[in-house]
Order: sequence, then structure tokens, then C-alpha cells
Amino acid sequence: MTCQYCDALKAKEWVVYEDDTAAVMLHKSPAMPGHLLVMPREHFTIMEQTPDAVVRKLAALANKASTSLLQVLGASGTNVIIENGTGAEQQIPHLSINIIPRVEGDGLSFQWQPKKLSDEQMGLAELQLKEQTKSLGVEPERKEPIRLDDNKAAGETVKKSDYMTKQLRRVP
Amino acid sequence: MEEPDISKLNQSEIEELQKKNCVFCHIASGKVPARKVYEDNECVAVLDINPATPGHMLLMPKEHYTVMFQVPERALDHIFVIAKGLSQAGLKAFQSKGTTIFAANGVAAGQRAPHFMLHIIPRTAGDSAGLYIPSRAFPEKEAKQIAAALSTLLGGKTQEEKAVAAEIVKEERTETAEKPKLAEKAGKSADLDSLTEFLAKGGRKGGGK
Repeated sequence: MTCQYCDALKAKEWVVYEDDTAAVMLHKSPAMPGHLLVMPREHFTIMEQTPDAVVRKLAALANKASTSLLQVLGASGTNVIIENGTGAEQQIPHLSINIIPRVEGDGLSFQWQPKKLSDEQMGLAELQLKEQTKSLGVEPERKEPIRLDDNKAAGETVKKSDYMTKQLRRVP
Repeated sequence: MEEPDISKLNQSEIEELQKKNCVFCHIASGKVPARKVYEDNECVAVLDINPATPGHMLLMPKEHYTVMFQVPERALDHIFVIAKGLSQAGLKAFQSKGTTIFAANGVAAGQRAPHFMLHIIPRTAGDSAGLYIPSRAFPEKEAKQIAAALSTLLGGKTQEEKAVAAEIVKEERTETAEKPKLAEKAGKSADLDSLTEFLAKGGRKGGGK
């Protein structure tokens, strides 16, 4: 199965920026002229599959692309939209960040119909999410140096391939 | 009440005033109660009180930034990584089939509160919470100009291209490999400087034009 975005990246079709990790290209069916897509060069379907390092790169690039639209087009704002997964209207299974230049009265509107939820429903949603974000609470600053040391120690005693298979076995 | 005052205030005084009156700063600091679902030193995520779907979250930096352009790179990186985690939390908590992640920069983009935030909306089939991005015909001629201007401004290079460029510089200067790296760094910061300058001039009040 071929991926439309992977092909476009290969063909360098309307690519306005690329480095080794990420690329920016013009959307071929734009909401506005100058509608950009920021995406990883490697094929990842959704954000959850994308390594943190790549996500960071995409964030910085999305910001840069967004700022340059103000400069190049004289836009007075931008929308940043990620359709993450088929349930979120994602059409092409390659993670991409939409950057849409906006000017006052351009006729675009991204507004959702607010749902009326009871206090109970809101409380339930809060509890359910908190349960899942517990592990997310680990401070990245604290975790990273420890991890690096671990890797070093592992690298000295265990061959890389052994280390990888060990990691794989850990996954149930 | 504040309208006549604003014209007399300078940039930093206006920013101070905005911070003082910013509801989301108060939410971040805990002065205004909200349903917090995630918090660390830099950012906080709360439930939107007018949700598109149950579990609709607002992820924001604790520091007051009006738009994304003002958020320092490191802080923004962190926010996107946390957004990834929150999206996953949504998938697990609600068995959702995807997440819409949305941000509006500027009033023209539909921004309402002057505090940068990412909307993270867990999606399930038939929730009618879609943000349909319309598509228009591709404006080939216009696109060529835009592409040219953008690629000059963004100036991306792959390792291969960098190596070629470095070779050329090496030949010209017969110096150590440090030089091209330095030149590249200088180029980057100059680029950012011009962007900040532009924002300082036209970033306020909707960029003019």
C-alpha cells in the first residue's frame, strides 16, 4: 500500500521545507491559498506512534511555518489543526499538521457545537482522564538523564541486538 | 473602562494588564477552579466547560502567551509531547477513534481568549464534533510564488544537502569542519531575528494590511 504523502515527499512535490526528520508542503486541496502541511518524513499514521523527538521537531516546525505565513501572505492569524485518526476525519494515514493562514472575513470558520453536559458527566470525564494521565505526570526533565545512564550501562555490557530483543520481550 | 487607558500604555504594560485579567492564567495558578486533568511545572490541562465532546481538554502553558508564535521553542515542544500523551489518554479513557487537536492564533482565526492553548478533542463515531476543513482548487500560479517565498524563509536542508554545502564552504576556506556549522547557526538566528522583528512591528492588532 502506498501513502500519498510519502509519495509526495519523495517527488518533492510542493515541498517548501525539508530536513532529515520533517517536511513542510503546500496542501493540494487547500482551505486557503498557503494552507501548509507539516509532517514527519518517516511514515507514522497518528501522533501516538510518533516518537517524542519527532513530535518536538514537528511542533517547532509548525510554529515556524505558521509565523512565516504571516510574513509571506500578510495573514493576521493561523489555525493549527491535527486530524489524528480516522475518527477525527483523517483522510490520509500519514500524520500531518494543518497550518491554515487566516484573514478577517475569509469565510472560514472552525467551530463546534458545544455539548451540554451535566456536572456528573463532566466529573466522570475528569476522573476517567485523570486515571490515564497519571503516568504522564512523570517529569521529562527528571526522567531523561536517568534513562541516558541506563542506556550507557546497558550498552557497555549487552550487545545492542540483545538489548533490543530484551525490550521486545518486555511488551506483553 | 480600560479602553482610554490602553492607548497610553506601552507594550509591556499592556501585556501586564492582559496577564492580570487573563482567566486562563488564573485557572493555571488555581485561583479560578477548573477540572484539571493534567499538570506539571510548565503546563496544565483542564476540561473545556463548553465541550465539543466529553473529555474535550484545553492544554495551555502556565506562562501567559497570547499566541503560539510567542511561546519559546522548548516550552512548545513540551506542550506538543504532552498533547500526544493526552490524546492517548483520551483514546484509552473513552475508547475514542481519534483526536482533533486544534489551535487558533489570532482573532481572525477565531481565537477567543488571549492565552495560547491547544484544544484536544477525543472523537468517537457519530459525535458530530467535526471541524471540517474545506478544500478549494489548488491555485497553481499563486502557489508557486508562495512556495518560493516560504522556502527562502524556512531554508530547510537535509543531511545530504548540508554535506554538499559544507564541502563547498570547505573548499572556499580550507578550514576545519567547524566553520560551515557556525555559518549555518548564524543564518538560523538571523532568520529568527527577522521574524521577531516582524512580529514586533505587525504582530499586534492583526498584522495590518
